Amino acid sequence: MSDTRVPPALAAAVAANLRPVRPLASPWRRALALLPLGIALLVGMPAFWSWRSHIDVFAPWPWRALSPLETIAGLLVLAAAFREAVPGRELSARALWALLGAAGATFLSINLVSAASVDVAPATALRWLRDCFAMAIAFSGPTLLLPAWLVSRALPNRPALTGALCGLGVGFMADAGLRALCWDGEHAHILIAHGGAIAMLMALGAAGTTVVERIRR
Amino acid sequence: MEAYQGGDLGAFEQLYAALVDDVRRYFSRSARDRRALNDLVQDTFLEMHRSLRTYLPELPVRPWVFGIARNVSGRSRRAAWHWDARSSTQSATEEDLAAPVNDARAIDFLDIENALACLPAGHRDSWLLHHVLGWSFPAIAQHLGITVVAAKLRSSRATRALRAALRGSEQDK
Repeated sequence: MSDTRVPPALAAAVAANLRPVRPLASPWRRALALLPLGIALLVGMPAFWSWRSHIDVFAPWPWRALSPLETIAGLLVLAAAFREAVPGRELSARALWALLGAAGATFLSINLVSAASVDVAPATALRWLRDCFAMAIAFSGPTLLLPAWLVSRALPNRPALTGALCGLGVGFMADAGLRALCWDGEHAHILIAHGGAIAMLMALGAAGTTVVERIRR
Repeated sequence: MEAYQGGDLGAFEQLYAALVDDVRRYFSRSARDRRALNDLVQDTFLEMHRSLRTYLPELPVRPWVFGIARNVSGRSRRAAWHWDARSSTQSATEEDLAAPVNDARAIDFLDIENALACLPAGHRDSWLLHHVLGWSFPAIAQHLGITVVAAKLRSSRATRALRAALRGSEQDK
């Protein structure tokens, strides 16, 4: 049994800025607070696309019906990221693999449901691929800042993982908007452009959160 | 814990008394010596205070505190690694940490005072405590509530900044 009295220097440091604090809201509530962001991506991306490119033909209706589901999946992943950021609440390896498996399965099943071959010239297919990827990154890159800020208010023990989960959540929400406007149902397109954008957002989230944590601490 | 979140210092003291032995035991294997162990324990409680808002009242306290201890441990390992890397690449580091007594030559005290005033407060405190009052770095770390590595780094940076500032003022003359 050692000395259990608070050392004077520590007591002084604590007393110096001791004031009532409001605990963070639960991860679910914080994720729910990002619902407007999800809706903005869901509606904003197709709206911007049609305004910019003067097009009025979107993806077929059944595909678009999947988009809100993807937004909800994105919010669930963000809730997991917010939970991961709280000390002592980190996801277990099993929970983490289950989450990543479920996310992958969701993406692949939506991909399979909306699969349709499109007969266009390779140059056009390449342009669509580039357009979808750039659109997803341009919209969701800045959007990623908000969950990253929410994560940085906690104390993530695995900042790279937390940031990657944020990227995955935002990537899902961006893909929901993208799916509503993209009529290319080729597997290669969906995997490379849509999946690639999500992977890129995960990498950005991981790098960004790690850098922020290194600077803050 | 809720009382502590409400701003009660007594609640912090109770929490410290209840957890300090467990936290010390947690670090006992990884810490190099007793001083380092005490630093890590104090860092943990200080970080706990800084991250007070991350505690969710309906949850148990211990997993949260040990989550913070893990964070402090990881940070300390990284800081030690950076310090080692820096020491191996900068041969002048030890020289930086030594008191610049013989360096003073014809510099007058007003210059030193002005140069000191330009330093960031944290750096200045570490430098003054070590070079003027002769405190050890662990004692400085404990006093300022930072790690030993941080205290050394601050003092070293302050020395370098002072040298640069004083060199500039000598040239001006």
